[in-house]
Amino acid sequence: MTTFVALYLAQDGLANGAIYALLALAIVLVFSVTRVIFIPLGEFVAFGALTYLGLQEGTGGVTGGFVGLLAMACLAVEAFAGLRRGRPVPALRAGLRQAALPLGLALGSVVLPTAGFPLAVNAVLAVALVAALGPLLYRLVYQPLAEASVLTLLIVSVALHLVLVGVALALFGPGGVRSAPLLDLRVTLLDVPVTGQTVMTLAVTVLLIGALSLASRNTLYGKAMRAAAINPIGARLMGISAPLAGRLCFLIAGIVGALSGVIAASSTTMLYDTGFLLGLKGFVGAILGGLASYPLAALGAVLVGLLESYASFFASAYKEVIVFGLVVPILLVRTLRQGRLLEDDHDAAPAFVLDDSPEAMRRQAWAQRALVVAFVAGIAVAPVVLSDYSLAILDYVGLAAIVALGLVLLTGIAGLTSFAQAAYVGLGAYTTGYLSSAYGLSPWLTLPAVLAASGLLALAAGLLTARLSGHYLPLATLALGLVAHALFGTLEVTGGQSGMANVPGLTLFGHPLQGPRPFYAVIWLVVLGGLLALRNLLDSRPGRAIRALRSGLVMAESVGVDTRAMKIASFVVACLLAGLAGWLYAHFQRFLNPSPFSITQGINYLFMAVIGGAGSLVGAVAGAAIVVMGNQWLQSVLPRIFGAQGDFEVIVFGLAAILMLQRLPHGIWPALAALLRLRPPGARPAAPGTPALAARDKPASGETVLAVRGIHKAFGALLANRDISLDVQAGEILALIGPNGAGKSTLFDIVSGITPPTSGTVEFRGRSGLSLRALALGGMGRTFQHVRILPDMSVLDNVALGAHARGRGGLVRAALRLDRGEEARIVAEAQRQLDRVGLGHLAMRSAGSLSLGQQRLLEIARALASDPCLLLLDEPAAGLRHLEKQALADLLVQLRSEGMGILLVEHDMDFLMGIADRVLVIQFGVKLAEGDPSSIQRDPAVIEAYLGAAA
Amino acid sequence: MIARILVAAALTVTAFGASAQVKVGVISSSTGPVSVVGIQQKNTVEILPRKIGSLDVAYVFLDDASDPTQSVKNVQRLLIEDKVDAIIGPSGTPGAMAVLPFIAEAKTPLLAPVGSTAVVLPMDAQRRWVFKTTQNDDLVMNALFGELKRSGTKTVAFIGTSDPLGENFEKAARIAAEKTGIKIVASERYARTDTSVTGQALRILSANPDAVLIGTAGAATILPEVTLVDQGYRGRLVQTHGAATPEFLKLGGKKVEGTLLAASPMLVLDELGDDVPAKRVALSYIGLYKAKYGTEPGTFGANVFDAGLLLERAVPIAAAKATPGTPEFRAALRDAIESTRDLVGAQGVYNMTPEDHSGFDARSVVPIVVKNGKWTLLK
Repeated sequence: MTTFVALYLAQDGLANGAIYALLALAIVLVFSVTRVIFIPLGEFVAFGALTYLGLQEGTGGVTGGFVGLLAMACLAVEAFAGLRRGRPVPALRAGLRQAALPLGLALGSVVLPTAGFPLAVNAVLAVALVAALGPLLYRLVYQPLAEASVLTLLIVSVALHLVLVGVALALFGPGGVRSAPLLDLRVTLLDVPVTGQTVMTLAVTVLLIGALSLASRNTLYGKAMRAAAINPIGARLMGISAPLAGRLCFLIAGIVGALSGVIAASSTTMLYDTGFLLGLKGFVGAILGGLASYPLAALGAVLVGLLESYASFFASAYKEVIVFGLVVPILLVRTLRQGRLLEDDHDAAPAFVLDDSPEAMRRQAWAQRALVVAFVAGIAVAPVVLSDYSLAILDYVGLAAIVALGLVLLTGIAGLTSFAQAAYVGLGAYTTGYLSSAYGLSPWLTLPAVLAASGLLALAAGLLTARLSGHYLPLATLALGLVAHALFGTLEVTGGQSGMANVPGLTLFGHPLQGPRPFYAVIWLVVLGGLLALRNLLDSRPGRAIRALRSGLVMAESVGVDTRAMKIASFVVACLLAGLAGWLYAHFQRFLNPSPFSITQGINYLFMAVIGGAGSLVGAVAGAAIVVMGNQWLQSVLPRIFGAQGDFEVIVFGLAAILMLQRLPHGIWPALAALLRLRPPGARPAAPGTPALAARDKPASGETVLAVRGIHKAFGALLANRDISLDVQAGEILALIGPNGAGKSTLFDIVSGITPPTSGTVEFRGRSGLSLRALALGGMGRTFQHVRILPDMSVLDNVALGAHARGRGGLVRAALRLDRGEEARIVAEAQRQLDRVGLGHLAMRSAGSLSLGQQRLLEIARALASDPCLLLLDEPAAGLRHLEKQALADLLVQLRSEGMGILLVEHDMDFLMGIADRVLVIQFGVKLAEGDPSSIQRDPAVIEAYLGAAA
Repeated sequence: MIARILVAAALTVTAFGASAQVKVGVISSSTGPVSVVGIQQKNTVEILPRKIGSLDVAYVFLDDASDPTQSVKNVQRLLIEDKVDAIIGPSGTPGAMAVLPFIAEAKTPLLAPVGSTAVVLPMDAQRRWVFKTTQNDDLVMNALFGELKRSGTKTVAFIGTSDPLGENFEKAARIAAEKTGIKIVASERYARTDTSVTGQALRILSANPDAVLIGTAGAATILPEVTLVDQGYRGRLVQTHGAATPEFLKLGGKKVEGTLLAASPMLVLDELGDDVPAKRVALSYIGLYKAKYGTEPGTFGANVFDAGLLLERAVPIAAAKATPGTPEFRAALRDAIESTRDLVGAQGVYNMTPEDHSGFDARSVVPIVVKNGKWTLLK
């Protein structure tokens, strides 16, 4: 490579990277304000380019019509909402404010003789017209979903992307467009010809980045949006509504997208679906920048552009593999530099409210059984009553359901979003396809190979990616999916783009299992088996641990769950299911090519899981059925309605998905289950007389269990703890008090291994430097100031999770129900601890339905279930009523008499004084006083600290 | 539950269809990468004969979104659900290859408007059921490489899209290159929706080939060509019949002037003498299409039109032997198509034999250059 080529490529990479950078900016902006991952941004690019060309040819009215339609819809929605609130006039006015300008622009695009306008005028018009779509789409699509989870919002974005691609094809057709350059200029820089286009792209990008950064810091609207992003409630108090901030950032995103389109159309061919790939690269850049900082996102995007440019010179066939393959190591480096993050986004599932009287529970069980019987019977009867073709569709439903089941476990339950499942289906399919057609192996022999391949690759990917946190993990799976798909299309063993034909079918004892009918039995047996195994898994020791992952890792680690192993395990299970589906698919379809294993299909599987109800297993089947059959049905029905012209399936399907998720953001099945009063899977009360779990050897009363020496903790210049030492002995209650901000919580987090101290040691039962989990395994139990429970699980399950470290049963034993003996002992222990804290009668309620005080007691029961010898309680009495406090005090005294060491933070002095043996007071991070309760109460320094703090 | 209701609904909507008619399934790629090809084909379905002899003909159209897997699903549906007597489609070679086993199992004739001869050669039990209604890719490539050789070209670089289309063109180009002794000195890939091929173009420039062949279809054909021209490439630029769309001339403008391609004589009808038999049929097809859609069709739509002509001739023969909707009818239809002799289509003259189901001869492809922004016959 000569310097000339290197420079030329750099120029090209920069010019493309600049476009990606613009898009990355818009993605970061939209995400930080609204939590929406704005996939349809790519369509704004396409709309911008195609509208710009349309205006030049005098056909810009097609975009105008679409904008006008959305503006009218917006007006109607506002008016309807106003009518329902009984205040139609202000609502109508608000609607008009939103719709007037878009309507004007739309009208302008129709009546103005734009074909004769200068390019620059049409460019501005196109950007204005397309950008107007931004706020309208926010109002219609996202505003009703302001409370939904990031995952639901992502899926809505996918649906909107589908709709807009369909609309783009209908409006603009499949042909491409190119415009004359806005700036016709060619200069030579270091011997490399530089076009005016490149100069303009770079200039616009730098200007926009600067303007955005400045605006977000210095203007009222910018501050408003940042405020809305950081603290929506606070922003609302200041008169900045979330909808306003949302519309505003969608407007900016619309401008950025449309502008990118106009710029791109002047240098390249733009098609109706060009935008998606551009947006994807912007998205990758944005995440490389951490989805938070504008300059970093822009830098990440430029990096993508450069990588792409050089890769297309050196190995154009492997360009995607190189560009996206490099993303994973970059992410890893970033994560490693961050250190291991324990905190993740909380994504609370709704608590259920079900009658828990014995008769009602019996009724629920019967209803459940009846439904299971009906479901299985329906599946069994289908081949008798349905045609071959309907069975073929059900086969596809089943295949998709197997993949979606894995995703429910991985994404819905463990909270790890994966875009790569289609790649694992492909891995399974190509493995068996190759082995059975190239070597003539029987498919039954290739099955173990398929499972080994997908299992091992999942393990490898899991080991690499389980370290990744937050948004990095989904991006890593996205990269994995893109790389795998690109490889399927380039490698020789997979047959490249043309694929692999004549894969043999299945045979059973010499009988061919070919065609939809015989295969139906195979596929649906696997579906039912998968459902049963996963249901068993969820109602077990490892299942509870996996369910605990979603609510943040601290709580799970604090009861001894190896969260990393559990993440990897759920990844492996999901990928095994995907591989199995791939094996089935290969021998059912008997033809393989890369398209069914693309990233689009990977997103589609997520789509199914979310639509059905990402947290529920039956939801996977429901979602697969809706997506597969819905598409098939639309394809046969819509041509009858709209005629053969146009392709409306994706539009109608996407719209239906958006409307459905607006009504049911948690998916279909959870809503149905609530209607039918079905209980989610979980532990049932243990039979009386169940033997107890083994208990650990306890330290003798008076033995020092916890020795904290010389703890310093600095956050930057702020010293949160300075030279703090304390001891807790077995059979002793030490209370830690101090005004707000004294450093109690920091100390607590250091003692329990969540935060490492800057200096000093924490020694627990003679060992120091232990992690949160190691401490938990050694017998330290803790509760949290802000309760960390699993609101959608029963109280009993929540407490049983506490006994995690006391059992050994693994995933396989759980799935096969070989763990029932141990499980019964765990559940019995949980019930015993619940009875002890006075919540025994609420065992079958959902934890989220308890009062705050009860939830604190639940946390204590959970800590007790781990059979601790030291208990760390963070404000256990807050929110408790007088009698409950009394009972709690009695319990703590009782525990002390059994030899438990207790360290507690509490504000309620009356409560403390009655039970604490010693009190430690800290203020401004320094030990102020230590002694027995009565001497502390008389200590002048303490009195001053409290009164001073109060005054 | 919902599943069952939906299936039931789907059944009631699709299951009706009288039996006293011929049913023809059509699969084309009206969305996705091959849509430049597929949309014309889909539009052409509307002007296929609705009545052949005394029999009504019903067409069931399905889009495969340029995805071979969807082609397979569509074929399964047409065979199992609609019980069609014949299928026209799919638009792309990989799709056609993928559906072969299913067609053969159902013993239903397939009229494939695709380029690759692999769908009809080597003739075997599966390919018995397949007839091709497009110029063979190798005809196109032979014409191109023949012309290149004639003009003294020694080296060619290939750049194609990373999809089935591009891959097939490369395969065919390599074979033709070997035959003519021309060396392929670089082979590059890009995605249909890529916005820059600068890296690939630089690579090609550094290999310094006498000509560059661009292997894809529709609007994606333009970016590599324009990029090469902008970078100062002075050699010959060559396109396949995939570029034979009005967009190519419109979007390419002056920069595609002088491009060599090989395609159907339909592109240069004005220059053909009335002695060329296909001219009359092509004109009538163009007239019909224009009357309905207001625009002129490209050559891809004609492939489906010709499939209709083949059926128009064969259906009455088969109907004399068996009733439509029966296996006997489908077998008779296959035999009748195989016996086609001297049928004049819009792009050439069909002659089928049991060994050769590809129909066209070399007369169906002519070398063309872009001159003054128009397709011109290369003489």
